[in-house]
Amino acid sequence: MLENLINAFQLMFGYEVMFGLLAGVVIGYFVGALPGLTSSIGMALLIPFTFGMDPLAAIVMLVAIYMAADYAAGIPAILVNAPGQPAAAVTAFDGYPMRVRGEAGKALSLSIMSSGVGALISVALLIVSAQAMATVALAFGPAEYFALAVVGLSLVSVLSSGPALKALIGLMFGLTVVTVGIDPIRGVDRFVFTVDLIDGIPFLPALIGLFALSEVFYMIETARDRTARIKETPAMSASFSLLAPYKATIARSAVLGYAIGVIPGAGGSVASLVSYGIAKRASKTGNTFGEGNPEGVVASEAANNAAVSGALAPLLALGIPGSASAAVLIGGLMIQGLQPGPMLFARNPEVPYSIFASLLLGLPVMVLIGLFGVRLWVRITMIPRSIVATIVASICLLGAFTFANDSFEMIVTAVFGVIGYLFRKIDIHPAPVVLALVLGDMMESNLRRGLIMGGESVMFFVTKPISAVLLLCAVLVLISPLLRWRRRLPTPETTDA
Amino acid sequence: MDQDRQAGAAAPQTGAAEGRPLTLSTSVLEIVIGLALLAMAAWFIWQSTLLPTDRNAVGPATFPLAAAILLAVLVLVLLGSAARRVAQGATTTFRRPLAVLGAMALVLAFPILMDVFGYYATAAVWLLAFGWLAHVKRPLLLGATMVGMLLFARIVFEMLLGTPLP
Repeated sequence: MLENLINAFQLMFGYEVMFGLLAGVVIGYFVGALPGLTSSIGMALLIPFTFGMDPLAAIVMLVAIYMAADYAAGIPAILVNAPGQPAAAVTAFDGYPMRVRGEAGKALSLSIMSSGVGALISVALLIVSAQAMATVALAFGPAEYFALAVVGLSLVSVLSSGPALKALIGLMFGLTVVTVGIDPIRGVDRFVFTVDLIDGIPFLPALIGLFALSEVFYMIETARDRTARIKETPAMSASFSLLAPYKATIARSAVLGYAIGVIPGAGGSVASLVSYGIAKRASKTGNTFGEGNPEGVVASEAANNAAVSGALAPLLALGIPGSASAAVLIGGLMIQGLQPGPMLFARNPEVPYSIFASLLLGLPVMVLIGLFGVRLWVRITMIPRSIVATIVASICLLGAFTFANDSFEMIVTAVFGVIGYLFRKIDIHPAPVVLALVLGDMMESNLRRGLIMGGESVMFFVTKPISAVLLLCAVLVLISPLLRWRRRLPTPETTDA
Repeated sequence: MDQDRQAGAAAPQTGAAEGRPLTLSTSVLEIVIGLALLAMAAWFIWQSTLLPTDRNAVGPATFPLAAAILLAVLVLVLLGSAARRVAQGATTTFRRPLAVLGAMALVLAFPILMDVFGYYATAAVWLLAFGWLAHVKRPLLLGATMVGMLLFARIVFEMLLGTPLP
């Protein structure tokens, strides 16, 4: 492990890789600071630009965007109470009141530094656990992979935003649509009504449509809303002594954030919310959370940035994305001819270890750019939504074209953009759809391979201990909303009263 | 419903060209979208029955058939729930509906127009139209955005990435 990490650090100092890292951090800040754009949108839009890049530089750039965008979303949350992405919403609970009180600089400084320390702790956990997960996963066969896909999808349906029924609808929509194309076992055409669909629905153009283009339509709705103007640039402090009173909070939030980030579908939003709740209960000044307590900012930011590394752990070790942004990263890896999973550690160890190294090297870069670039980030939050919408729409279509130099991919992006917008209007979020598009093929092909190996018997999946346990977990996860609903039903005694 | 009305009142007045905010019953919207999903599921179920059968128990048709059936069942539950909630009066607001519809039409038309007129000619007109719909009203800013994006496409995609545009 240490040897691989040292080799990865050596690779990091190539000029292309360093350029990728710096560009990724700066672009991530732009994306995160702009309300409406998220790390998944930024990564999806930038993937077409990585076609001609060195594979390592491309992957490092995408990971840097992921990390920096998740941090930068806290900037508009603190300055104008408009989080750059959902994971930063909790930061606004205390960050914005601090800004109103005239402590914007302190809030931003605490935010960036606790993000950095939280991310550092979670990267250490990632390095240790990802390799261990990959080693265990080398023994996985079709039964275990099928069970993993089922668990991943069941967790997404329960943990993603919005009602569980709608998340399940999004999931089943994705699982239905992913069957278009060539059957993975027999090679039969399925639902191929035009020759362009022979390889199925192209994943990245669909993803760009679902995330980025649907957001553009929302921006057009609110384009006439005035952007809040910030009159003064807050003074930042680069002193780590600001964090001294919150050491325990940061450590706890980072570990929690990492653990929650590992769970598919949970992500930074759940991590920051859970960490904030626990910090509030544990704090001596918990009654001031929500009124500008700096500890609230620290708990939220440390957790949501730690969740970034958490989401990468199952992605790299098992090929299962822990978040929608991690699902986008799968697309970035596949474009470079790399398949995430345990074989990645065996065949291309430089890839996961370079990701670890880029996270470690990127952290101080991210913190410094955040602390000293505050004037620029403040200006970015004031860019009119109308301009952002026009530029993003144009890049969406251009980016979709580059996947196959064909206008069909643009049509896919446009159609999925409309679908994504309409789905969001009825509270069906894109994350379950995207994760179904990622995991659906894995689920079907491993189910059918497992049945062939097990002589057409489903007992093949329950007699293997790991797959049996995973399938049981999936069943429990799926019925848990029903159990909670039953517990809320009034008892006969209470209705009589 | 009151919150939607208040939100509509608080938002800046939209012009006639953009359409007044359109407020629909959330349940009705769910029913309309649900019916579209049901139609899609029905198509997949029908097409799955036409796929060749396999000597194995789980063949090419099994997974899409199961997924489409489950989708249909879940959508029926949604439709039932939406029908029961119609009386509750919850609403969904579409602000600037004509602008959004126009943007959707432009996005869907772009690939078709590009195949006929080429990328740069299409993008030049498209960017001006889309920017106007997106409420970029200052002509200089609109023009600058258009020129900037065309230069971006030329420099980054054609020259740096080597992706020839039609």
